[in-house]
Amino acid sequence: MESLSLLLHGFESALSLTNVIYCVIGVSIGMLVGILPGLGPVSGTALLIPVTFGLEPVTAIIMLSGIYYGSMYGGTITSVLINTPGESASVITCIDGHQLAKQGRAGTALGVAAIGSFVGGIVAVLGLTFLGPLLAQFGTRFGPPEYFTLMLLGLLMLVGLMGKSLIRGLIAAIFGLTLSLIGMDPASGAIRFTFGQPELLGGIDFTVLAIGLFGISEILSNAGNPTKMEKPAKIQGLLPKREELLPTSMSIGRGTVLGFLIGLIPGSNAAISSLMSYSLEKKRAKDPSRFGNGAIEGVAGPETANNAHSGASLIPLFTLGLPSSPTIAVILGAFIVHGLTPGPALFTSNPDFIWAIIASMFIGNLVLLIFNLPLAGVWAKVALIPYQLLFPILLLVCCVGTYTINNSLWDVGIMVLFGIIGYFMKKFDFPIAATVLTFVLGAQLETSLIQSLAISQNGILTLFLRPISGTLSVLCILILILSIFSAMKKKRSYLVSDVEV
Amino acid sequence: MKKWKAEVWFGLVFLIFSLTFFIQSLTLSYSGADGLGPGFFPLWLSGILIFLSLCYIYNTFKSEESQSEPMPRGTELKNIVFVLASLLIYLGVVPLLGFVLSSTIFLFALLYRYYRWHLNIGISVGASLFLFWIFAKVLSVTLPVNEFGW
Amino acid sequence: MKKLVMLSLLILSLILGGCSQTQTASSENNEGQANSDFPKKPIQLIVPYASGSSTEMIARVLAKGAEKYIPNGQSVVVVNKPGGAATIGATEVHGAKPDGYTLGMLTVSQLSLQPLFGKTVFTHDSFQPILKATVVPQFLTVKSDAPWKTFEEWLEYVKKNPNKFTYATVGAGSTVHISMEALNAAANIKTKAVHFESGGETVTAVLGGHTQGASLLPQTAKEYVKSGDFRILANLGSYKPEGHEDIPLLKEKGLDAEVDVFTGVVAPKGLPKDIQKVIHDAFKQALEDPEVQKQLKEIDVDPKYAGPEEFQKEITESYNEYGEILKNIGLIQ
Repeated sequence: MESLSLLLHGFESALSLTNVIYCVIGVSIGMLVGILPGLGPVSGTALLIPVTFGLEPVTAIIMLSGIYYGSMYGGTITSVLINTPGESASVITCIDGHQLAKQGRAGTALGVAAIGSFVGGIVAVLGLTFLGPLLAQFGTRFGPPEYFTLMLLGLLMLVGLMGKSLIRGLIAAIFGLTLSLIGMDPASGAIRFTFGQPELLGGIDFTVLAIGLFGISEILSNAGNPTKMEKPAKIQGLLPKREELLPTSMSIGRGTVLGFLIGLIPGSNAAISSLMSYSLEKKRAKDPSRFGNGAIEGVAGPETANNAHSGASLIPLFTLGLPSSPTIAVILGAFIVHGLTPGPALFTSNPDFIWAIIASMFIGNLVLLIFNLPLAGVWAKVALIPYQLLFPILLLVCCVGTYTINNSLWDVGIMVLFGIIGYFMKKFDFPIAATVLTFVLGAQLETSLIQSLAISQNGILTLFLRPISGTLSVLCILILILSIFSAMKKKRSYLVSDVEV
Repeated sequence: MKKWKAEVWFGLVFLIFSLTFFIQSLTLSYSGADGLGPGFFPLWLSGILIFLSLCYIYNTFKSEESQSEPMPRGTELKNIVFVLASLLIYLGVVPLLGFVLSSTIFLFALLYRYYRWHLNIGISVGASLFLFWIFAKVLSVTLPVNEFGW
Repeated sequence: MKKLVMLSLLILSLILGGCSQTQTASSENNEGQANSDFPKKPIQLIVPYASGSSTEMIARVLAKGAEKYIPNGQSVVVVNKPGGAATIGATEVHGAKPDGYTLGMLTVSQLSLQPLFGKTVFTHDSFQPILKATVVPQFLTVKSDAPWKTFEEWLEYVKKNPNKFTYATVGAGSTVHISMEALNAAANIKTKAVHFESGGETVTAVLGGHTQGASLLPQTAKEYVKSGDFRILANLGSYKPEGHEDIPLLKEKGLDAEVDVFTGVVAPKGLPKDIQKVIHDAFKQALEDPEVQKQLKEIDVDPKYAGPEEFQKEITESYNEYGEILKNIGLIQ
């Protein structure tokens, strides 16, 4: 129980007045940043690094990690209220979260997300405290073949989630995959589909795509239809209905485990966690048809998973010095600015520092919960603001948010373009979430396959010969066979005709 | 007859998109040092997308009834075009007039129909200044500004 | 009808905006003529990488140091312009007015490497170099349980087993890639590059045993050597940084290959000579400032000054040299 005494020692340091104040400031700025579309956790932390220059290292990192997990939560708020995900992990939340908001249950969705996030976050921090170094070793066993099969599994699950029509779903998914190819190919340095535009060399930014396809398209379809503007739904209670309590808490439990495990893998995206959790919940539900029409489990599971994920992703950072997400990489940069060298020795060379941060994460998560339960009700009232007043301001916020990513108006133009595409996708029932999620996973899918082949001594077989990727490959094949089989059984022609799946 | 037309058009957009990518990916090398070149994924993905868009267009032609809404027309179309036009003009104006002034005009234009002008000016100026304060001052983001710094 | 009114109002504002722009342009022209009191406003230092990158930190340290020596008490503001594989920021510097108020903190990647791929609007001699500020070498690193204890043992192995040794890079055509390919060419060996996207991913790949080695910056390599995970075999650069004197250079092993990652300050072409001198002198003094040198040491880069002409010469040399390497491995024609 050495870690316990070290943790208590950490609490001593984290509970100093300055540190608590900066923790609260960090969490609040994080929420603000998460709520403003475009400013995700990455730019949020990056923007505020200069602000921390004058602070003690511990205080600075406490504040920056606060921004990190605070903004993860803030992103949920926009997903639920205005159907615009702030970061990739919240894309899935839009599906049912926004439906709940339309039924006047935004408060419930946000409340459940707050509780789920708290549980997921705390369990992850507990894992970090007691099992950190042990678990970190598991993470490094994920090489390119393992990533590739994990991504493939994620994509297969996505197919299972596609709305009414398989063909529309597939178009949306492949569209996203194709978009992810734009820019410089990291494997060969070849420049693809940039049409001579230097701005496209680095590819399209996720946030630009997500705000365009989700946010702007939503504004356009509402603005186009004035009747939709005038009747905000009545607000119902903050808590789930009684019959929803058990399934919801089960979802939170499953989401925690799933997000935690996937979060341990350095470089894995939180979107994978939330996607897998959503599809797990849909599989387990008695009545899967509720999903997509405001199922509370569809918010609880993924939101818990992505917070457990972001907590767990700190394990490879602290124990091995490996940044597991772009945000973590920014925090890593901040370590260096504050004279700390990240690396495997960090835990042993600066234990006071690390434990104070871990302790502050308990505090920060608690602060988030305390803030958000009462605030969920306040946020839900945003839905009562007349849309005619809300939408011009939202439009403006989307523009500014997108601009801040690269300080470029070009990005804002691309966002508007995707807004128009998204408007039509919505109109003709194409699942937008499929495009955005495959876009996130697509780039990694390609590079990890090419990397697998490069490190392999026996070609594509390597995917089956390594224990973890072998298991995942078999799982993928099984799912594929099962879904084809069940489709045949239902005597539905699977590809050609446009049917309900 | 009118109903499926919009969907066919949208299918055509995907078809053109995938054809463009398909043709471009022919110029990239299909195989690389370890099997896959930069052209492998683009070729297959855009190829599949071509097939899918053709299926989609075929389907919409075939099916008589359409579950989705028709193309926007009338007031709806006007509203959307108005919003988009304001947005594009805003993007053109913002590097010249600076964030606060152009945002105020932008908001004023969009709110014009719903609020009386004095209330509208209040909302537009207030919201623009507030956003400017949050982004430029609190978060210290560099926003496009005019020569006076706002 | 109302919408029509509003649209015309917006168009009017566009025209107004146009007018105000011409005004701005003319006033700045006047400014350009009277150079003696440069600078009259803050100077922008554009960094083509995101916040938290090491180039940004170098820029911040230098900017803060240079402020002490810039006349008229003006400040140097660091602006991050990431994106476009780190070419957007460089493109912006390239297209800026050569009035001394827009400078760039660019690395070998933008100055010598990216132009080779022929997709950038600028090339190796499209900028006015002000000075070279820092350099850093890279180390060939393997996992500590690898069978090779020394560079010689490793060399013997790769000679006998061409294309068996895999190393992780941060992308095709990156400095990491180039430095290993330079070694391949000099020693007449074949090793296999596996391209990742960030430094963190390459470390993961070596730690997990997915690739056998990597070429890492001293700062990263040092930490994992300390923890007993990695072993450094050779220094792929041209000099030995402080604290790493025991790591052999390739030229000590009789191999003619050296690649350093350099970072320097550049301006758009056409910068008036007197303004160039003001900026150059301020940054040179900053580079010699003990406080700045201490801070650069902390982030493990070495201050290394070169004046405008010498800097341009180095850029051109590495541009030619790397062009050869990239041609030989077939990345460019």
